[in-house]
Amino acid sequence: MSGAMGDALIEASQLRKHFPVHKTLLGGSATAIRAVDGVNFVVRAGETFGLVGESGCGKSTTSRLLLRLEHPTSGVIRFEGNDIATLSGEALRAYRRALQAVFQDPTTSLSPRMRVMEIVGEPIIANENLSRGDVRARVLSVLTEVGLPADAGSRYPHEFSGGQRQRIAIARALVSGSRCIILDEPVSALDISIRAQILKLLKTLQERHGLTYVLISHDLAAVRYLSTRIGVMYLGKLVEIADTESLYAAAMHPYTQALLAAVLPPRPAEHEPAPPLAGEVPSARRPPPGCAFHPRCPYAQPICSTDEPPLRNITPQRSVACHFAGALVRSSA
Amino acid sequence: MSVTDTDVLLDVQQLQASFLTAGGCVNAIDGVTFTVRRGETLGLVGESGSGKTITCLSLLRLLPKASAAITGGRILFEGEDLLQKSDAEMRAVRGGKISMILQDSLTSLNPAFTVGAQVAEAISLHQGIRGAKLREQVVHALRRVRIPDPETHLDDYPHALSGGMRQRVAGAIALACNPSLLIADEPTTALDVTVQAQYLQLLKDVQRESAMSMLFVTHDLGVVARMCDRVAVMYAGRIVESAPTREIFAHPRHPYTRALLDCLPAVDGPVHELTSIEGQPPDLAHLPAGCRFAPRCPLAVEACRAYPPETLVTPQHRVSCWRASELTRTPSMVTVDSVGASQ
Repeated sequence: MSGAMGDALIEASQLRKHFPVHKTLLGGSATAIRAVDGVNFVVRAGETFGLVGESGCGKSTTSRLLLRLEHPTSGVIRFEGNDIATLSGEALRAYRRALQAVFQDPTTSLSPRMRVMEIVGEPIIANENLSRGDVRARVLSVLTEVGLPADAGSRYPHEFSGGQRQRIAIARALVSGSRCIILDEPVSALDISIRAQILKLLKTLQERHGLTYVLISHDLAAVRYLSTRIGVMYLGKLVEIADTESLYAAAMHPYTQALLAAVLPPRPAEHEPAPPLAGEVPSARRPPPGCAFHPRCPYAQPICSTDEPPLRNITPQRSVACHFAGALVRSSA
Repeated sequence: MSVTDTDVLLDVQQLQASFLTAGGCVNAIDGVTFTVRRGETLGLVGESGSGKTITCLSLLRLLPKASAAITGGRILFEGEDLLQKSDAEMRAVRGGKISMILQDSLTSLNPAFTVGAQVAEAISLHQGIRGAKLREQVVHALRRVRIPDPETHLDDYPHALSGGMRQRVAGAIALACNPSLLIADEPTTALDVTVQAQYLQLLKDVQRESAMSMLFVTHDLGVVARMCDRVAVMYAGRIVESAPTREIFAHPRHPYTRALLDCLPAVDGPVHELTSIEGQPPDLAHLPAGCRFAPRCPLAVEACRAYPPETLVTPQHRVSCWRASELTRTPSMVTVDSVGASQ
């Protein structure tokens, strides 16, 4: 696929991460949790690629694979064409500088025993040869950029509110001149009045620096606000990838449809909503045969429980993993 | 008010609760006033630290004794003041006529006891039944919250159940004695959206069957719109606005309520630019002299900073804002309104 946006910055192909589950005392058979199970996607330079899905769908494992915090069971992640598994030495340090992360909960992602100056300066101290004065200057300029007061550097994380702490985490992600930031639920732990501040800040920073974002979230409204394209995950697999507007206008995979229908818009409904999707996400230890979504799917046919539908292009902007994709278009209205 | 006394199940008047902190005594809630009528759902909305949970715990008199106390007001439940009741009387109220569901079932359920034992405890404490009759009641309580094949889950421990199922068990315990008031404190915040939709539907169904009232605490305005008949918005320990749900979404009158609605990204309709509320809620130990929202309010004038606002009461609406009467007719939230109108 040749992208209309930028060139491919990240390419994941046939990505798998299985976590082994050991035999129990009573001799149950050893199995694996298939957290990520054969995922392909491309993130283009300058875009925000949203990964959405419910807990346990594998979106955070995917982000940890991108960050090289986990090693894939199989499959390859390429960053600017280079397989990240083979990076070492200076090339790995360059990758770490280029790819940074902001996590959900800034109370746990920031060390309580370090001052903000050290927290934000750490990535450049570790990866670049800079004098103390240069580190200081870089940190101060990035703190100002994310909207923190000038004296923030000399204080500890607990002296800040949740929203300000997330600004510190964003400053740390920016300081090394990163080109891509993995945002793993960046606003989920924040109050709603603070969420909007952080979402707007992220958008401004992206425009100013031409950043690429991979946004992991279960908040479909926040994802829509920031993302240019979205991948929907269910039980370790991508079931639909589309550009944001067409996805929200007319979701094609029955799971995407159900997910969007379950979001409650902040206004009283004109009529009773459709009955909610039944059941819960099955265990990733024993995913159902065929299409993993078929036990909950209102449109399931016999073929769905035997043959796994591949992710296939329906239009140039959209791929869907459903035997009946295209036939099941339901407008979001 | 046009409401007759018999309609009102819970009447909270000028409730005040104080906490002892390192910085001295702070009023976590200060003059909270609201009513819940029979069969209705009142939504209590606000951000963290606004006093929603403290209000709920005060109603059940569950504030930690060592560090907190109710320092004023009245809590009239079925006409009787809960603050005058003895501890033994309160124990009969809790889990009996008023019960509560908390946010996180992983911590609200005891990991060392089976699901059956925990539901049975609630029933036997209040109804004094034992043996086969009790077992039958437990199965009935679990069936009521739509747990499939409840008999097979009696011996399960909480960790063996999914998050949605655990929250159903917490619901079964809360509903076991047919309370007249259910306090639900962020009951679906820890759940995934599709499971949240199921749980909200379940609460609606149970309410329809039993004519129970609900006090629904949430920060999610989508949940409010789905569940509540009326809404009270809290900010920094006070209720700043209350009105029927349709009214508050169509004509929010407090600048804070408007700002909350404007700062939400939309999941349908056109994507609009977000209006963020700059700054953050005040520290309860150092409250501003006037309106508590004034430092963040784009409409604040001199009076707002100098004096606490009066409460303007109309048949539909209560709002505490100096500028409320001027703001009545101003069309706000163009985006939300237009989204509502299209499709």
